[in-house]
Amino acid sequence: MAIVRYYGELAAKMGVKEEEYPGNTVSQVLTKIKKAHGSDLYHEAKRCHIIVDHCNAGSEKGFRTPVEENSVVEFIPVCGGG
Amino acid sequence: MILPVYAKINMTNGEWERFPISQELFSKYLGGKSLGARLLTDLTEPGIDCFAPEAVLIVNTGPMNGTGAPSSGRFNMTFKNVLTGGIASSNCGGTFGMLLKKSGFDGLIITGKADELSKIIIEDGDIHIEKCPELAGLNTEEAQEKLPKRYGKLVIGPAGENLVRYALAASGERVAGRCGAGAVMGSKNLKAIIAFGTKKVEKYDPKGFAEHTKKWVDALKKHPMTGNGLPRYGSAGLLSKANASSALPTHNFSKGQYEHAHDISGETLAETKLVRNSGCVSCPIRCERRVKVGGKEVKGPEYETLCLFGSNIDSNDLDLINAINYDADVLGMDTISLGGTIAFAMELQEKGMADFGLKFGCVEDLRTAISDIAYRRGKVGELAEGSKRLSEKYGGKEFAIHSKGLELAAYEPRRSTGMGLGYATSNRGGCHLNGGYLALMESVGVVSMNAQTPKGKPELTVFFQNAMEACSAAGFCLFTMQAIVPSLIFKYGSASFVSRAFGQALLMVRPVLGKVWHLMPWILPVNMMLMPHSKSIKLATGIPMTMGKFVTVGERGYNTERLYNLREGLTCEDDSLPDRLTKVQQDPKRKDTVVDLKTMLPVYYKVRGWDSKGVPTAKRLEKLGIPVEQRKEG
Repeated sequence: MAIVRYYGELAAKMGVKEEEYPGNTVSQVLTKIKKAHGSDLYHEAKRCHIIVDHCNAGSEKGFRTPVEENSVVEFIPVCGGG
Repeated sequence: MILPVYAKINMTNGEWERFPISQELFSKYLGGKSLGARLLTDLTEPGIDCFAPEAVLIVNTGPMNGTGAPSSGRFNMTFKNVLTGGIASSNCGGTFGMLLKKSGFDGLIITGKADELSKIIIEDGDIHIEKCPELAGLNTEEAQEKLPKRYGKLVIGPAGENLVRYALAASGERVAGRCGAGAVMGSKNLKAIIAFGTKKVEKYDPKGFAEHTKKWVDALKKHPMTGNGLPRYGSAGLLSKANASSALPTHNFSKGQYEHAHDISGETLAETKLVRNSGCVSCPIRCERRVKVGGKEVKGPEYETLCLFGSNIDSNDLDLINAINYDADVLGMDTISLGGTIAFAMELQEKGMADFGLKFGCVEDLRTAISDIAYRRGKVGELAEGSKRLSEKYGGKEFAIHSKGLELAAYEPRRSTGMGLGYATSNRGGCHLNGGYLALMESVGVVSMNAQTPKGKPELTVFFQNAMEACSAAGFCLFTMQAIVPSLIFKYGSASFVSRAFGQALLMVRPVLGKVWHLMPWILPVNMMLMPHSKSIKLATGIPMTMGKFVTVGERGYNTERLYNLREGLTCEDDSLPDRLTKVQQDPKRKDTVVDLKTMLPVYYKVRGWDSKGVPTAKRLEKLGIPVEQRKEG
């Protein structure tokens, strides 16, 4: 099972900050999220920064980035700053 | 064309005169830090001390201040850098810039030294200097309360009066924090500058400008970063992403993750401490946090402060960070340099090299220590000199986290290697913004770019350093630049093919980006809505500005600053970072978690049109219209 963490407004909408899902890739984890939380929140999660074990999924294999047992998958809404 | 008018003020004898800016200078440099660098170079002799009476302090606006263009309320301070000995520019929001302009002056050139603590009063085209012993020793809040209400104010606190090397100047609750602007004011016995006026800021094409501004404001409000991320969480919103990406400086930049990061995150700040958000004059973004300290509503901390007084000193006490942020502002010290220097002192203690009574994770007495630094009291008062000078006295140069003497901002460059190059080459020292701020794309932003590769980073760094220089010169807030990432990227998310392709494309176009500066400005003879700054300048001033000319203003400013640094004795050896960041892998299993400056610097120099020692070539300077005789070997 991967540990899934939500941040900011996404956590508020999900109603939970952390949960666990099975899955071998980010895409498979997202599918589980869709089943649990519905299509709207699935799309919102997809638009987030997705970090798998401290690596940006976008810099790895995108939605095909591997997720291992006990991996931490973090969904962080877009932010700005400087 | 409406040309700017500056005032040259001599603090020694109290005299002043108008100092007109020529059309050529205005068109080439616009204002702010770029014009400031030109004037500082021209008006000072090489090698003078930053605190000498003949040293010059420039306080200026850009052409967009007071026009009502979005996020255009910034003003600039340029002077000889108190920490690095090179160029300094420090940027500030608030109302002072707008009121200075309405008083009839676009900028001030201040020289000399008053024999007693004094203030400069500017009102509707007139200037006079008055003694102000009643303001002596007051903090920035108290001093501003004693000054007449309707004026825009720029003041220093005790740290400025005591010449703390990273003392700031405050305008309202906004600060020109970096490089020691407050200390330079203090060295001139200048406690405050106040300005008021009723002059209307004229625009070249008022109707076209109003239409363009409306479109731009709408675009900023709809953009995911400037319309949602920044208003919701402020810059503090970056902290969770930085931590997740191992880019959050922790324990004096020895690690990139903090186990209690959530306690000091933008989300926790918003959920538990935020009273409301606020913003500067004419800014639709409204990134400012408002929190309570001791029951009083005050400005909340930025991302940098949360990290440097949180993870970087092993503290997860958010209330304390809010209080320290307030203390630093009213005592008058830059939280980045202050926080970085404290973390360095803590590591000296940990290693048994020096003891200032500061320990990682032990923060109970930190507010007292910070007050002592502002007043240079006791042994901890030595921290007023900054981390570079401390390391020269006590050792630890390899973990004194600065570049050229200016402490680094809160992005771990071993997880944003382009940001590392930016820190090393930034003209004012270890600054993320002057460094091009690639961290926003590499480790904390939406674009999925390989954060570790050195490839493409020099080319992107040069582009963003120049673009941000131009943005500042005009008087715009740099946050407006964050909306240049197309909204489409956000629609699909950072893990999507679109974002990944965009990030990859930015790295792959490096052969083009590397050569494009030789073809500027004619290669970009248009204005584009993606970067609306250039058209806004054209409509406000009448300067025939294009995007190509806009970024060339930035390149010219950057080179002018570089020449000043070389003139003052800095060399390519100063384009460096401490060994911790260039030689020690952040992740022992990953060889690429160091900043590979050796690979990136030669490419960077080449893209800039500089020689192998980082000196701008005569050919490049001629093309930019910079006097070639000012070229000096590094």
